[in-house]
Parts: sequence; structure tokens; C-alpha cells
Amino acid sequence: MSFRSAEDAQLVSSFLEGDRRAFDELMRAHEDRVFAVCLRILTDREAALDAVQETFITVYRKAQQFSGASAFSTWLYRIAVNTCYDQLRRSRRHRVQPLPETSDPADDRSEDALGSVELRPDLDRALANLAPEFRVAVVLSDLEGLPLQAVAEALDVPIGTVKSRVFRGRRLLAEHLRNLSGSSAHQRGDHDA
Amino acid sequence: MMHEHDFDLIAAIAEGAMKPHEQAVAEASLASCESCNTDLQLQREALAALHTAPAVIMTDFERAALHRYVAAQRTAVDKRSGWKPTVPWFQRLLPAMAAAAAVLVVVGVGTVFVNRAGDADLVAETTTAAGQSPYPAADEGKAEARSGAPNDDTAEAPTTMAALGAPQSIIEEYGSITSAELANIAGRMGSFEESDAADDYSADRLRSLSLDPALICSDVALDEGTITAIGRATVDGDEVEIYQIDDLVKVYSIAECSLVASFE
Repeated sequence: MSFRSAEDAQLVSSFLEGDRRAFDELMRAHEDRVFAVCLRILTDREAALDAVQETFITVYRKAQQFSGASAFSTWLYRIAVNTCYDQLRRSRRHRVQPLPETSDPADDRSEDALGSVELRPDLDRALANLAPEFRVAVVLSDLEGLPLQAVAEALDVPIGTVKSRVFRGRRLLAEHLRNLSGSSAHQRGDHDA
Repeated sequence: MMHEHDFDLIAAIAEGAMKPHEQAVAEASLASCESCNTDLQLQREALAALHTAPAVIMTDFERAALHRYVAAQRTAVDKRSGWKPTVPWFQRLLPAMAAAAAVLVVVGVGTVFVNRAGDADLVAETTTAAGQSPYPAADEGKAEARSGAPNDDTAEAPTTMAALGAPQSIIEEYGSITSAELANIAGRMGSFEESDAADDYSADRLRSLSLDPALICSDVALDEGTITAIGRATVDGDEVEIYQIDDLVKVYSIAECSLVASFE
């Protein structure tokens, strides 16, 4: 058990014994990473903030259900991902739209600092066009650096499924990036002509 | 068609998770597989792009909104569900047990101290009854009476402070308290029964003792009636004296020598 995991377990225990400050500490320790995961899944800051809020309220309500079999962070990610899935289902505006045949070139200057996902704009677009199950797997594994076993526990799927989703997610991501890059080059060529 | 072990291998190569010589062998094994090489290239491109992703940072505004929302929802959740943290009964009792133990120690030490002080007073009064009394007028008769029955006198200690379960003294110190606690103390003082304690808190005696400049300052209280208990406290930062006078409990500001509160 890592230092963070041990500390988390102690904080959960303290919280369940009535120490409300322990919950505050847990929240402070994890809120940034949960926000990052939600933002990368939902690709919208406001929606991500909503999801983080719901995530921590769920943790507050259901802390007694945390068994300690996995790390607290894994349990937390599972709640966060499920909350994001709920948001994606509830809100049409967060549904992923297929890329147009020729999309506009990515332009850093047109991105509002607070409105963007803060990834590279092309990467942002490519990630947003992945199906949620691939996007979540790639985000947790490659962007958040969770071990595959932890991703499997967080998503409640076999580790083989995680490997498959990460692999296919990366492949689709690279293909989207190639398409975006190709269409940008094509449009630049048109302008040059 | 790719098999499961293939994407494990390709992913491992792309991630650079293998030792150099193993990596070379693994890549060589894919040489004849065109789709495998394409996949390896795509994996590498994706990982390279993902590694350039900047860190996501929550703004101060977002963080404040998060904390505000969660704090409000926590309160709502507690009210709605009546959820209480599970605390073992013995842990819940620990603070009360510690407080009870502290009170017992204080009462014990105080009782021993008061008994010793009472004995000393008695000796002093007995020996000064012939003209050296510190209480020249009002206590003259009392000193004479005590000199004849020392043991009974010890049993006649004032009951007012005893009712608080606190050490007996002329002035009860309550320390720093809130106005709500002051009302509570006043309520308890108001329940004291008049007793022989009136002698101990007689105006003349209190004046003669010159216990504290504050008492002289609040001299106005001393002639208002029969005083049966006196306390002193700091209420929300202001030093006050608390008197039970007849059926009232009156609170005087020490700084301004004025009545600031009265409880029936």
C-alpha cells in the first residue's frame, strides 16, 4: 500500500468515526485529479465541475460502502467516471458528435482559456470523438497514469477489456489526429493557392 | 486478424516497457505483419500526442464553487438522511469521561484545600476573638459563637457554591464564557436557597475583606439586598461580576461599574 493509499484509508476511517475534517482532507487531496478526469471525459469545464461536485457528495453519502478492498482513489475514480457517464447520458450538449468530413483546422488562438479542455486543441477534438468507453480508458490509463489493474477496478471490467479499450482508443485517437492534421494541411494548401 | 496477445505485445513495445534487447526481438517478430506495424505506429503517435497534454488546473473560482457547493450539500444530506457517523460507544463517551475525571480531580483538590483553609480561619478567628478580629463589627458575634463550637462551624460551610459542585470560595471564578453560558450560570445561581451563607456574603464583611478593587467598584450591589453567591467571569471579552441578590442574579461590568444584565 502506498503512502497516499494508507493516508486515504486512515482519513476514510476517521471520517466514518465522525471526523468531518477528514472528509475535507480527502477532498483536497483528490479534487484536482478528479476534476482533470471529468474535464477530459466531458470536455466542458462547467459540466466537469458539476460532475466533481456530484462525485464528492456521493462519496460523502456512501463512504460507509467503501470496503477498503481497493485503494480509495480507485473507488473515487469509479464514482467519478459513473457520474460522468450519467452526465453524458443526461445532456445532449455533451454527446459526442461525429467529425465532419472536413473539419476546421485547430486554432489555438480561437480557444478560450477557461472554455477549452486545456489539451492541445487537436488532441481535445480527437479525444472528444472517441466513444466514451475508449475515451475513459485512455484518460485513466494514459493521461492519469493509473495502472491497468486500477483502471479495471475503477471501471468494473476485466483487465483484458481495459487493455483492449486502451489499445483501440489509442488507435482511433491517432487516426483522428491524422485526419485533423490532413484536413488542416489540405486547408492550408487551399489558402496558399 | 489480431489476437489478444498481439495488442499486449504491440502496446508494450509502444510504451517502451521492455528491455532494449527484448524490444528488438519483439519488433523483429512483427516485421512480417503489416497491420501489426501499422498499429504499432498508431500507438506510438497516440502516446506521443497524449504525453504533450498540458496538466489540467482548476481555477480558484472553480475550487471555491466546488467547496461551497459540497459544503451546502453536505448539510442538506445530513438533514435529509439523518445520517450520523458511526462512532463506537466507548469513543463517544471518551470526552465526557475525561471531563468527569477532570471535575472529580478539581473537586477533590478543592475540597482538601477548603477544609485546610477553613481550619486555618477557625484557628485565626478563635485566637483573634479577644480584639484582633479582621471583622470588627459584623463578625464579632459570629466569631464568638464559632469559638465555642469549632467542629459544628466546619459543618456549616456555605451551601451556595456546594450546589455548583465546585470548590467553595467567596468568589466563584467562571473564566471566559459566552453570554449563553452566563445565562446558564445565572439560572443555576438563582436556584440557590438562602442559607447561612448570607453571613459570609454580608456587605460589611465583603467590604472589610477588600478582596478585589472590582468588588469596591460594584459597591452599589452590596447594599441592594442579601447576597448569597458571587461569581466572576469574562463574558465575550468583558469582565463582569455576578451576584445573586435576593431572588435576582445581577451582572455588573467591572470596567464600567454598572449593571449590564439581570436575571430573575
